[in-house]
Amino acid sequence: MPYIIKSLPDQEKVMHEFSLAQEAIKIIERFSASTPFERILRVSVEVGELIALEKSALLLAFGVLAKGTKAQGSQFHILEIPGRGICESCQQSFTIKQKFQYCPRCEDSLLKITQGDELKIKNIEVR
Amino acid sequence: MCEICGCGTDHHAHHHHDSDLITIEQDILAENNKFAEQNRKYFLEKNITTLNLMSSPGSGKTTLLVKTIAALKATHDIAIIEGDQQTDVDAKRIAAEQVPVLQINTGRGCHLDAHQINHALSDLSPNNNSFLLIENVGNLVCPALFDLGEKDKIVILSVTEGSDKPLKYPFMFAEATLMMINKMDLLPYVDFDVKQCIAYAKKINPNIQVLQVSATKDNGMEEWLAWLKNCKIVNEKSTHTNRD
Repeated sequence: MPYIIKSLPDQEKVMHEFSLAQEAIKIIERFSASTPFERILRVSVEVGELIALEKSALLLAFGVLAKGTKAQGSQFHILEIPGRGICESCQQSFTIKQKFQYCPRCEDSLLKITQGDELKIKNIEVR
Repeated sequence: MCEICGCGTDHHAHHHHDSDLITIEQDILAENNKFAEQNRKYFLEKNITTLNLMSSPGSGKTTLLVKTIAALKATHDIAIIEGDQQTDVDAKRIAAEQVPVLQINTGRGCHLDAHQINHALSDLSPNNNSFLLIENVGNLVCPALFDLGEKDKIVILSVTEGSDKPLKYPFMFAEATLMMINKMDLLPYVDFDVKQCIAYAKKINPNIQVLQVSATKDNGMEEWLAWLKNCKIVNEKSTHTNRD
């Protein structure tokens, strides 16, 4: 049986930090199209400490992909959101460094993430 | 498919000015999730049971797929989407089984995303009431972040890997409905603790289901095929348009 083979266009052949930076730039460009400003000075992004993401790779990707857009040369500011989880048994809240943590008190209760899995564009500073 | 995915059209967005600071407050994965929801709707309308198979490279996903197709194709419609960075090797293996297959080469990309699947659906146009099995790029990290609109995610782990993989790559195991431990026939030759592996996976995801198989030796395949068929029946009964 014949089969179909698809190669992605070059700009889509990227690691997931690149994919995410690309999504971020798409969002920014959409705003740029409908808002009159000359250029973007700073992009502030909230990144939770608990998500699987390499910050340096995200920074690098953004710098590369911003070329030729209004965000070229802008500062990419990462606001780190510390991880927090709550135990549903004892209702105690804890600071956590990793996503899948058990309650240090109840032991067999997986903490529910209340903060730290964010990945979003907060705002852009424009001129 | 562009009328479905809205490629190239302008998207509506809200914003407001705060001097020269524009508030955006938008999730970066929102775009992917939007495509995933479109895909999910498409699958529901056509009653296609879609499963996203993920693992590290070399866990035996393609062999498992080939065996699954051979066992099911007489009674069920099956279509396959193959994700690899390079080559059409996997597509050729699947195509030899006489089922529709589409290979996506992601280049440097380390995962499939919902937009790629959205376009793949228009090229592949899987039949109504079929199974669509998606073999994601061999990688235990990135694919976990990207919802494709599938019904369930399946993580495959082989006994030639470490039994602590669920703890080392928890995101993948947290997202999966089913963990398949493959290459069970090699167990006598390797240092793999099945019990420990299952305990670790359940630590991350208490609801994860587990099957132990050897795709090359056809061990455990009956249980796997039963799982698949049950998954399809559940899909057919489902009247929801949204996932929880």
